[in-house]
Amino acid sequence: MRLRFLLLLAALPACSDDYEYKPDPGYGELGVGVFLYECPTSGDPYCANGSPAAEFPQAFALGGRIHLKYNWKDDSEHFSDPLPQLQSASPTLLARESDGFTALATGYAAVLAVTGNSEIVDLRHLHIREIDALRVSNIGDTLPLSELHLEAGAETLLQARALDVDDVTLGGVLGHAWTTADPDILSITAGADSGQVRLQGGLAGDTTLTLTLGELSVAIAVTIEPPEDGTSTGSTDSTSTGSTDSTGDTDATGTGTGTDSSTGTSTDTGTSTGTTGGAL
Amino acid sequence: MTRLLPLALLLAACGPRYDGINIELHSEPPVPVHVSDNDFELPAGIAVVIDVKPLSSNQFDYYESDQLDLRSDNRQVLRVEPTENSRRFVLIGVAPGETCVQVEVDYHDRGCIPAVVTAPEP
Repeated sequence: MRLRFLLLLAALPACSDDYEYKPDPGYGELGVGVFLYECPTSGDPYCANGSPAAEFPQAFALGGRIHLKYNWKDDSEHFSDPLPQLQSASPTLLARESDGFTALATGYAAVLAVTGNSEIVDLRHLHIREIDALRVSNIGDTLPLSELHLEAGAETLLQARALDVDDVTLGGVLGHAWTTADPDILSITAGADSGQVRLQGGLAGDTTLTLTLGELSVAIAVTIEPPEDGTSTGSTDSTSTGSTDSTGDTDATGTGTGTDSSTGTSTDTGTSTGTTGGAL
Repeated sequence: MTRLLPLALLLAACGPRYDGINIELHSEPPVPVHVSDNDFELPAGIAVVIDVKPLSSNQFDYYESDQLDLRSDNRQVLRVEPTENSRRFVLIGVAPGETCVQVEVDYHDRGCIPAVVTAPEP
């Protein structure tokens, strides 16, 4: 009787509703190794092309392609052991593909690190969430943009972010589509189907840059100004204005402040201005 | 030969006598799950690590080297996978449904534990 009562007590924490899932950052839930989130292509806000992310995304976008790698925490304990293969716990939630995983349904989906002996040595749950909004911002910035001012001939680089309903930036490679209403005024020089787009100012004038992802879209008002000396130098000099991001399938604009707690590193408040620098 | 029979019977009597298993949750899943000695319930997509200990009703306990295996009747619903530790297993909710987890101790079937996999938690 006492044993049953003790077992019931032991089971209670697992049934609690206020339990918060916070695994040791980077490590698997069994602590044997590290799950790394990789970005094999450019455009992911979490990491540069080809390198692992500095932090493991808190959540992943529904429909996103997810590239993971597993390393032993302590190589000396696994000397000459081959790295385990990564498997999905539930193929209906997270499908294994040749180059990674695809998030097929919302929910938690475990990724299992499995040895050649079919033993599970570690695991980690991915939280797959629906995309609630799109956001466009300057590279290295999280403040949303609604306006972009660029000198004729100048280039700039913008980053798309998919956000969940809690404003968390979602990981995963997505099928973004950038379009410009007037390519003579603003041209897309690279990344038209990526999360990161390279733009170049053309003729002076106003146009619109649109980012589309499924049924979501966000529009950026673009103004290309003639160069101060009247010639196009090719140097970068853009100014962008903070605003709100999109929700649903309508384009949203706004002004002023933006807050982004998506990456857990910082909170930006204010107006985003001044994407400047040399050739990108 | 007849002399050896009592000895064999004596040796057999010195072993543990199966009296159920004790199951404890080892990992911390992101959503609530129910894991007990008598039943399991977890959502699809969730994997939990459990520690399993065969219990003995006499003074002889089971050794780590004594055989213990858990097998799912339906791996399309619930997978039970081994780990490097022979007493530790991973329960994996694959798809919603019901199944049973067969328990084998010292190569003897010891019944099954009913398991329910629910729809994924959003």
